[in-house]
Amino acid sequence: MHLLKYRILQTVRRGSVMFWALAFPIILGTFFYISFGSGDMGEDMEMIPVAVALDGGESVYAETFLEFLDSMDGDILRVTPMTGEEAREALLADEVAGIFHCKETPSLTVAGSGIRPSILKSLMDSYDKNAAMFALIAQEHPEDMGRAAAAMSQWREMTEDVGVKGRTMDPNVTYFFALIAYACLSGAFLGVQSSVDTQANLSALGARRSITPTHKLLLTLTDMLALFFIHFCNVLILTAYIRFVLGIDLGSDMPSIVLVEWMGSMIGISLGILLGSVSRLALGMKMGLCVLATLFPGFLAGLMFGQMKDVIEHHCPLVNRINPAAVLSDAFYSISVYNDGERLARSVGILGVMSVAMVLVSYLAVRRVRYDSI
Amino acid sequence: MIVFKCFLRMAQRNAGLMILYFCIFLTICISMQFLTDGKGVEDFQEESLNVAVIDRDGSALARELTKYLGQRHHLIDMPDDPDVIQEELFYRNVHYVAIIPEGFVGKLQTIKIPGASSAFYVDQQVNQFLNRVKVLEAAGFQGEEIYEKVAEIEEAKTEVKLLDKNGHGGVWAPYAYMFQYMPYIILSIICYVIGYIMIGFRKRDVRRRMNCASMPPQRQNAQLVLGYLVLGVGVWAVCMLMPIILYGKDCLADSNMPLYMANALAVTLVSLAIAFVVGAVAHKEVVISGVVNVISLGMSFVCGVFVSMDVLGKGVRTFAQFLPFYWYESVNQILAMNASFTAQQQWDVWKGLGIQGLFAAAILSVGLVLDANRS
Repeated sequence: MHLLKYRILQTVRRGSVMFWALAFPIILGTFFYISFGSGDMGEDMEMIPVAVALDGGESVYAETFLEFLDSMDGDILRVTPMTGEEAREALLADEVAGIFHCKETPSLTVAGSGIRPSILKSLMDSYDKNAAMFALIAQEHPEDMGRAAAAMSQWREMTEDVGVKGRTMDPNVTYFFALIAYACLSGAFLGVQSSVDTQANLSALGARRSITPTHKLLLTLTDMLALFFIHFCNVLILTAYIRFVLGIDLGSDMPSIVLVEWMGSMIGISLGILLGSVSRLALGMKMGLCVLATLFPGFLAGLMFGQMKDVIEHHCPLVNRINPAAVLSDAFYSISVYNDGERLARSVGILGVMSVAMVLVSYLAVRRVRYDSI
Repeated sequence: MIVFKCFLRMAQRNAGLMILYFCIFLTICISMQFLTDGKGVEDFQEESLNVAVIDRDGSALARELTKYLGQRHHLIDMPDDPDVIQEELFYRNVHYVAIIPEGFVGKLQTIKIPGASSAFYVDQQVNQFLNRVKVLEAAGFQGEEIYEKVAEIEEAKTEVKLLDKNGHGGVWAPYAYMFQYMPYIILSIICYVIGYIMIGFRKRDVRRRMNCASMPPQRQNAQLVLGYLVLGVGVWAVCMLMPIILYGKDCLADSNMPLYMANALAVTLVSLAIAFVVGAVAHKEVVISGVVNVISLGMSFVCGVFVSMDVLGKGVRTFAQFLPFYWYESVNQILAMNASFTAQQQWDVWKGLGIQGLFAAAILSVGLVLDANRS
C-alpha cells in the first residue's frame, strides 16, 4: 500500500504530464462538440443561394414554378432573379449553388456534387413529380382537384425513427465513442514513461529502484496498478465531461460503460509498458511507436471519419475484431445503441483477453532484467 | 551558422524517428484515399443501400411500398426478430429497416444505423411514396390504380444539367481530396518531428550554455527558424510526391497543380510556426502527443479537413475563420471546383494564401515571446 500510495503521488505530481493526459481528450471532445453540436450535422445550415433565370418565356408552368421557389425563399433558399447569362456567370463564380430555369419545363443547372447541389436536385425532383401528379389528376379526376390540393397541403413526415432498442441516438455519438477508445489507448504514453522510470539504464530513478530490496514483481505490479488507477480516473472524468457537460447521450447502462473503460485503460497502460520494456530504442522512438499504436487504431475505429469502421467492416472485418480501438467502440455500441448482452459479452471477452495478454507480456519483459556491475 | 548546423545534425540523428512519423501519417492519408475510393467520405449522392422491410400488415399498400423500395435498393430478407435486426445492423449487413405495423395507419417505424447520412434519402423516398398515395386517394383514384399512377409519376424525368467547371464532371478529382487532408498530415509530421528535436535544445544545461554564448538570442532563433524551414520544405516535398506517385499524369496535368502546391506550402509555413510554439511549450516527450493531437485533430475537425465545410454550421464556420486551416480549405475548395477562375475567385485564392502567411508570422511571434519568457 505504501508503494502504491507513493507511486500514485509521484505520477500525479508530474504536473505537465498529468495535465495533458487529462486535458487533451477533453479539449478534443470540446472541438468535436463545436463541430457537430449535439444533434444532426448542419442543422443550422445557411440558406442555399440560387439564381432564378426568368428569360424562359412566360407560361402558367413557369409562374407556378416561381411560386414554388418563392415559398422557400428565406427558408431553405436565398433566391435571386437574374437573366440566363448573369446566372451562368454567378454559377461560375460560386456566388450561387445552382440555377433554376423558369420555363415551360423547369430545369436546374448545377456545377458539381456535394450537399447543396444534392438538396437542389432533390427539390427539383420533388417539384417535377408533384407537378406530374397534379397534371395526371387534372387529366383524369379534375373534379377532385380541390381535395387533392387539400391533401397535398397536409404533406407530412411519414416515418418515425425508433432506434435499435426503442430510442434514437445522436448520430454523431460514433465520434465520441472513438474518442473515448482513443483516450483509453493513450494510456500507452503513461506506460512508456513509467517503464523509463523503472529501467536503470534509462533514468536515475530507474537506477535507484533497481537496487531496492523490494521484489521486482511487487514493484512492477504496483506501477501497473497505480497507472491503471490514474488513467482510469482520467477516462472517467472524460466520460463524465462528455455525458454531463456536453450533454451527449452515451446510453443508460453506465456500469457497463465503466467496466469497458477499465479494460480499455488496462490495454492502454499495458501496451505502453510493453512498448517501453521490450525494445532498446530511444525514448523518442518508443513514443513514436506509441503514436503508431494509438493513432492508427483510432483512425481505423472512426476517430477522424466516423464511417471508417463501416468501411473497414465491408473491406476487411478481421481488422475490426483485432483493433483494440474498434473493439472498444463496438463494446460502447453494444451497451448504448444495441443493448445486447451477448454481443457485449463477446466484446468484453476480446478486451479481457487482449488486456491480460498485454499485462502478461509486459510483466515478463521487465521482471528478469538485470544489469551487470562494470 | 552553428545553431543551424546543430539543428540539422540533430534532425539527422533523429532520422529514424522522422521516417517513422512519415510512415504513420502517410499511411493514414493513403488509407483514407483507398478506403474511400478517392471520393472522400461524405458522399451525399443517392445510393443503393441494403434495406429490409418487415411487413406486419400484408396489405396492398405494404406490398407496393416494399416493391417501391426494392426497385431502388437491395432488399434483404429479415425475420421479425429484434435480436436478428440488431445483429444485422451491428455488422452493417443492412443499413435501414422499415417496419410496417399491422393495420398500417400513422407513421412507419424505421431503424437506421446511427450516423448513416445516406439513410436520410430512404426516409425521403418513403415520405414521397406514402404522401403521394394519400393525395391520389383524395383525388379519387382507387385500389391498384393508385400504385400504377405512382409508378407513372416516378417516371417523370428531372432535367438537371451539369456545368462542368473543373473538367472532372463536377466532382472533385481524387487528389483534391488528398489535398483536403494534407494540413493534418503536414502539421502532425512537422510538430512531432520538430517537437522531439526541440526537446534536446530545451534541456536545461543546453539552454544555459546557449544563453552564455556570444551569439545573440535573436540570431540563434533566426538560425533555428532557418533549420525549421529546411525541414519544412523537405516534409512539403515528400507530401507533394504522394499525389504525384498515386495519380501520376492526371495530377500533373491539372492546371491548378502549382496552386495546390503553393497552398500546401502556405500551410507548411503555418505548421512550422505552430511547431515552434509546441517546441517552446512542451518540454517532455509524453506531453508532445497531447499538445499535437489537440491542435491538429481539433483544428482539422472545426475547419473542414475531415468533414466537408458545407455540413458545418454557420457558427462553426465563423469560429473557424480564426484558424489557419479554414483558409487552406477555402482555397482548396476553389481549386477543386474550378479549372479557370473569375477575378473574385483569383482574389479569394491569393487572399487565402496571404492570410495563411499572416497566421504563420503571428504564430511565430507568439512562439518567440513564449521562448523569450521561458529563458
